[in-house]
Amino acid sequence: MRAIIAVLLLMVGLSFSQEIREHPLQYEEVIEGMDFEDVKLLLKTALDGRNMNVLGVVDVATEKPRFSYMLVCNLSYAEKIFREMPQLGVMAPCRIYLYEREDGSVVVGFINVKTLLRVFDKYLSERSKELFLKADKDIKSAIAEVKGE
Amino acid sequence: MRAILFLAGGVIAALAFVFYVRTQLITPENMYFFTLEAKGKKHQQVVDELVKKFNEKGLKVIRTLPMSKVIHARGIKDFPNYTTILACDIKEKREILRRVPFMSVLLPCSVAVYEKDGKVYITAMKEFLLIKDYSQELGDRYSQVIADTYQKLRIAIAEVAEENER
Repeated sequence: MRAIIAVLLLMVGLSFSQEIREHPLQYEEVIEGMDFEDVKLLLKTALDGRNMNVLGVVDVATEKPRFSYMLVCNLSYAEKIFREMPQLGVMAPCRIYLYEREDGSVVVGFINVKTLLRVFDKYLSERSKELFLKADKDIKSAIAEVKGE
Repeated sequence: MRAILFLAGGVIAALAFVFYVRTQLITPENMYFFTLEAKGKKHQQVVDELVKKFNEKGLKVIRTLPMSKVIHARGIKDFPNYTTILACDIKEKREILRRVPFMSVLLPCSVAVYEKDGKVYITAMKEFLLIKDYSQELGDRYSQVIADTYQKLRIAIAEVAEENER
């Protein structure tokens, strides 16, 4: 009887945890202890340093809570990927968004590349998948640099 | 006996239909992308017509990114013509992005105009799945705003793609 109750509680718990789960196509990281503008500037510099060219920064909301997004593209990667699946260009340039939370922390988010690769797996060659993963790594390492990690 | 054969035939037909729908219709390509061929038009002509059409329909164009021109300038001359148009600068974007930051995937809208096998294609994202997953956070009003914007975008693309055929 106790086992049945435990399983039922687990199932209820799982159903609630699924409700607050992030969309699988979304990836976010939280940066604490830094001002929004500082994060934005440092992230732009870190991305440029990785050949992830920031084509533009759009400030959607300049008063708190602030919100901006960056249009980022690595044309060397894009050139190879678009030859195979040009439709993926509608996700380019990659949008990296930043927003301020009530506690002052800054959230940086972008598309979850690993989920994207699962969705379009059969359309892409191993080489293109590697380029996607490299881009993902470049962006995540840029965020880590901003965090001082 | 006839009844059994009839039943078996029905089951096979139903399975074939399900197989067709799952492999040909419900593909990631069909679910996430809206693509039309612009028959009888050149790449740059399509880009110019789309920019004009989007602005006319209130889907304000923010930027046009000539991807292939930059790639050609780097010495890769065989890359086919490719342009990305960023549009849909709608007044509700601020509220939508504050509610669901991830909607920056949809706003601004990216429209790709590219050449493949000597033909010119136009592709835009389909918004249905993303809106559905965030419907609670967006609410009815903003879900509808995005859906209406993308519907208008598809109509504009279809008008440009098909104008020559009339």
